[in-house]
Amino acid sequence: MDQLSDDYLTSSDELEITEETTGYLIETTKWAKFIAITFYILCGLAIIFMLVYGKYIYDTLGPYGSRLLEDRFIKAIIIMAILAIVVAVTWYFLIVFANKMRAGLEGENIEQVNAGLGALKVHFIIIGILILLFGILYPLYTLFTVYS
Amino acid sequence: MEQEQQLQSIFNFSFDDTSREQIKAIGLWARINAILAFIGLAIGIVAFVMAYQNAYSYYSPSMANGFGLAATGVGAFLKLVQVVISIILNVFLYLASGQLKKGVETMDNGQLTKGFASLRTYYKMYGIVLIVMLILLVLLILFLSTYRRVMY
Repeated sequence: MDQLSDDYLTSSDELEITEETTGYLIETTKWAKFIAITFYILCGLAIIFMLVYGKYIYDTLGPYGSRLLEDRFIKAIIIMAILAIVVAVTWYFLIVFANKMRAGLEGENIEQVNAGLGALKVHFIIIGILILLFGILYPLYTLFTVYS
Repeated sequence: MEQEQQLQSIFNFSFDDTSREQIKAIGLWARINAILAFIGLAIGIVAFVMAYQNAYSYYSPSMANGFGLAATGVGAFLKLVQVVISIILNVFLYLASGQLKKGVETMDNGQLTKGFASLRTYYKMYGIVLIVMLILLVLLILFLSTYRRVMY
């Protein structure tokens, strides 16, 4: 019995989910969920704001604004819809991570923990693509367009 | 036999092969994200400086295509705050990526725990920054509505 418990305690070929690790992961899930929900709310508010005040903002720009409204309104709506879908998908995976990881840790279910880790991986992949598109390629394109 | 099963259920809640693969992938993508964020930050700073230099000379601030605020001191201050916050956040993400990857590769529980601690700090700071931004947004909306009421 003693030998057996010693073997489990000192086993170095396993990565144990210690109490400390569980604590950190649970706290991570709390913040992750908060961030994801906040982004959902902000995205919703931005859409409502644009739908309610969008025309007013264009109107205040005078003739230039109404021309802009004619030219770009549909384009702006499409871009907004795409951005809303991207935000929804990105933060959905963070919520899945938070829910599954928490359930897995509390129920000591490794399948749930793995599902949570998988969702976090997908979230990081999407964020990476978004940083590449909007954080690097778009600013570079803008720089070259403006200064060439 | 029964005792062995009991001990396994107590002590054997550990990461399996699938978890290790997932953690390794998370470490890899977290590192890619942090590096991409640093590159994006550098491009942003270059764009800001270029817009700042050109704002008063040839182009009007609005023509600087989204970098209009560059022409003002407020813009410079906001950019500085953004850069500092971004650097701190991504340093923690980069740290987490290295520690998670090392922890899994060397089967080192200590490193793995440190990695999860860094990930926790990253998300915690992210959340706090978000709260501060929300408070500033609410204050800005209140200020603008009050200003409008006083002016008109």
